[in-house]
Amino acid sequence: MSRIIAIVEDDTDQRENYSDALIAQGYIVQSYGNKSEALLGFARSLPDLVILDIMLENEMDGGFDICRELRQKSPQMPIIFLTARDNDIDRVSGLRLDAWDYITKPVNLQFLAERVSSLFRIAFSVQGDSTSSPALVLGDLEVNQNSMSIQWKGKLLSLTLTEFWLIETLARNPGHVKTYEVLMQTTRQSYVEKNTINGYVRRIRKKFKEIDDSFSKIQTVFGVGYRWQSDDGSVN
Amino acid sequence: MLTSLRTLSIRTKLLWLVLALLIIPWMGYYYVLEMKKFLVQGQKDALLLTANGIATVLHDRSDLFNPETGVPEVLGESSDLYAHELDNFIQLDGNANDWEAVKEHVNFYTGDTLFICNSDYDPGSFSLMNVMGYFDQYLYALFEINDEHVIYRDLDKLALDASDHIRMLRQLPNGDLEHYLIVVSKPGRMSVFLVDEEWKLPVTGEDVTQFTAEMAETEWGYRIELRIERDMVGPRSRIGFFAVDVDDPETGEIKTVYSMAPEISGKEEPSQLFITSPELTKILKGLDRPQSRIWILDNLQRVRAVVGGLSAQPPADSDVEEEKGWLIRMYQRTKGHIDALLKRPSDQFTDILPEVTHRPDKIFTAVLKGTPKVEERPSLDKKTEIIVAGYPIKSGEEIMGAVVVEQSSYAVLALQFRLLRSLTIVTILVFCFVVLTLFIFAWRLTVRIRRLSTTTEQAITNEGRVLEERIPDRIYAADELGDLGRSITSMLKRLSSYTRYLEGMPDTLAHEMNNPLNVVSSSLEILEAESPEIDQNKHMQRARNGVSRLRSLLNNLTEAANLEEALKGESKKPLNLPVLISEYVDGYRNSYPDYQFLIQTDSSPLIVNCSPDHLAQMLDKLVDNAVQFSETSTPILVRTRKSNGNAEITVLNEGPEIPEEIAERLFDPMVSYGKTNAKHSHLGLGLFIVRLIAEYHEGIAWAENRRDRRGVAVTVSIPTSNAHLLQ
Repeated sequence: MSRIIAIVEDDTDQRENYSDALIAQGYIVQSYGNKSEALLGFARSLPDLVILDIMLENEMDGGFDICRELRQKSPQMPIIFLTARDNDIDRVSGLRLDAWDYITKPVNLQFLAERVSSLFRIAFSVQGDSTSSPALVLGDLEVNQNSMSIQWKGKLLSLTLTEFWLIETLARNPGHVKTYEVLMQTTRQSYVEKNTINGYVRRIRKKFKEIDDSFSKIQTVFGVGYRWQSDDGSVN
Repeated sequence: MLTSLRTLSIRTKLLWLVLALLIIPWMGYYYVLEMKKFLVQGQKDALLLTANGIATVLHDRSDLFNPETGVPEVLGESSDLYAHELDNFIQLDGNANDWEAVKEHVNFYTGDTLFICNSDYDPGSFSLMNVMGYFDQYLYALFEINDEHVIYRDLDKLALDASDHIRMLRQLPNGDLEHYLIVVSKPGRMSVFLVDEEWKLPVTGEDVTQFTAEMAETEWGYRIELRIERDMVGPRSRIGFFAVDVDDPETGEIKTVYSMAPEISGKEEPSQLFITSPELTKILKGLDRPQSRIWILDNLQRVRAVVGGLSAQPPADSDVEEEKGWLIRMYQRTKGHIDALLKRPSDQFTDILPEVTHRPDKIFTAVLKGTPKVEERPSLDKKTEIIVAGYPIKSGEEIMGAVVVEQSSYAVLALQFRLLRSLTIVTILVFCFVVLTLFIFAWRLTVRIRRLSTTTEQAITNEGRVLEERIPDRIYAADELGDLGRSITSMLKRLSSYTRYLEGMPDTLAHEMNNPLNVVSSSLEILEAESPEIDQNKHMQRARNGVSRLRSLLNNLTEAANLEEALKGESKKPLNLPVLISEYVDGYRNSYPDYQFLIQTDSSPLIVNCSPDHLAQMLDKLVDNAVQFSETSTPILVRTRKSNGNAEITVLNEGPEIPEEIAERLFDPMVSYGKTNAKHSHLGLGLFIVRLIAEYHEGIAWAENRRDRRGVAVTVSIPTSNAHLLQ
């Protein structure tokens, strides 16, 4: 059974390109050009995953509005914001609406497909059996590969895919420095600079500190990258 | 001149304006002077009117100027003898009944007018009374003498002064003195002799016929009636009477000599004789006032009569206040100073004495030609001004003389002085008050303007960012300055919204450009996926390169825009700078293997309170900048050192120098220097980000050419922290 993906994007060229790439991956794609069309379509039937642009035609926050409507209908549906707006406020707003991912343009289509499949996997694991054993336990950190979720001291962090991948990469080899180049690859985004990574790490630390104020496991190695501090404190 | 005016502060300008207020006292002074003129003119008119009135009264009174009759030249002098008009002819019979008309003018002479007397003088033993009168061609004198022992002349004796007798002294107009002795051997007609200066022996031995005297015994003594022809005693001649008492008929010793000229003491001098014209005297007496002096001149400018005085009229001055409070004392003291300053006019002055006989002043010459005149002249000692009004006295068409009225202008001067004094005091008070008020006003205004200007300056950063959208309320007043405050507030609001728009521009731009860029990149991707053989096509490679560069630019654009937002939520912690730098440069060596990185740091720790991520971001930009403008394979030196309590991070590279004209703007957004490397397009935001981060750390950033002229040194200086590194 093919999964249905809805794309809401006001730029026809981009919409077609996304649609082509996802169809090539075997998904069924419904595409909408504006908010009202999208809401009409969703009223008829709900897709399995939605990719939303935030700014739709004249509506600055059209994407957020659609997200809010969808959440009322289905609290568990994976929603991806795919937008040119790259600032903390929008990111926070998007995640507060329980979006599963927030990707900034320009996007690499291959990475997009990868993210979509990852999200379906998570969605499946959430709907299905979530008791499968965690793949990685590192002191207070619990990384669940199946549901792509992370717990710190038993509490679940609300993360985007990129953030999950970054933490997972860092935690996989505690004490090892992960250079910016490695971390850039990890984000599965088409164009990433050092500062983009710094921004991700800053947000990740903030999320940990919301749970545990004394969190200091992620260390900066200036000019090189970051590392997850190993529990014995040794530095390799 | 105008430019120097513009450089004055408002306070100074207002103070200058206050000085303009000095016109007001000047106006007051001018007004007082004018008023003085007006008052003096009024006084002159009044005096002229007085003179006119007197002249009118004296018109056609030819007797006034008749040298025979004469009038008292000076009225009120008690040393003179007066002859009063009699109603009837006097019978020389020793009977005093026909003296009724002049009874009221009788003078009593007692001891105090003694001329010569012995030590055993008894006031009761001798006294006398005397009165003089005239009728028709004769002058009469009556002597009533109280004497216990009446001694008659002993005809056997040659000396004439051995009995009671009357002496008469007559001064001729040429100044010669004639001595007459009136004596009698039995009651009845008396003998009159012209005698020598010793009053002893007769000069001729014959009776003088111009005099007739009659003697009669009375109850207390004797009475003498004397008749003199008027020709003998002219208006300018002087005359004196002395009564001589002899009590011892044997020795004939003179016991007492009475002078009948009052207040002439110790001297044997004749007095002026005045034959009064009662009507005229009445008129002139009536005009006798101490404040004005009236002169009657004949047509030869000789003084005929003078009445009145020139004493100053004391103006009603409330100076005599009691000293009560300090305020009044201060007022009194101030008044004293002002009195000295304004030269208070004196009421003590000397002028022409009434005794003069001739007034040759020019004004009277004019008046005597028929023109009434009034003028001012200074007093003899120049202490005050005297107003002189003259009016001719006519008899028919002929000018007989002139009336001259003189008055001191002291009253006007005193009034003027008092006005000037009040004016000065009021001016000083008003001036002080106004200066104070204006000073406070100017001070308030300046303070408010300064405050407004400071607030306005602080509302906007040097880069033009609006920090405060509102000028605080305390500057809000209903006046123009309040309006200005409100205008600035509204201006700031507009500026702020425009700034927000501008700040949002890069974001919007990036957003708008990202979309087509996304189309291009995704399309290239699909193209690649569909036709794998195209992957190695050089045009494909170039298209990818272009897309990559565009992304880099857009990323830079959003990075600067987002930085300030990101910095707000950031917290600082103490960090050892040299350690961070060396770690960092180690990392860079990996990233840029083509370049040679050198480090120069102090061994001692250099602690700064910073946000490590952003400090790293700043170093990124500094090194990026150095790399971009370096020749390949030249060393890039990163140096830290302590300087004046600040930590300085300097990145030096070798390459093109900074043109002077942009050196100062280098840290502003979108400013770049040197030739741009086509492979590394940039928007000149790198050093702007450096500056933002430096300022976030309360530091500054600057760029300069290296001393060895081989390249550029960019330095960031941030304050060091006192906190110890927690390690």
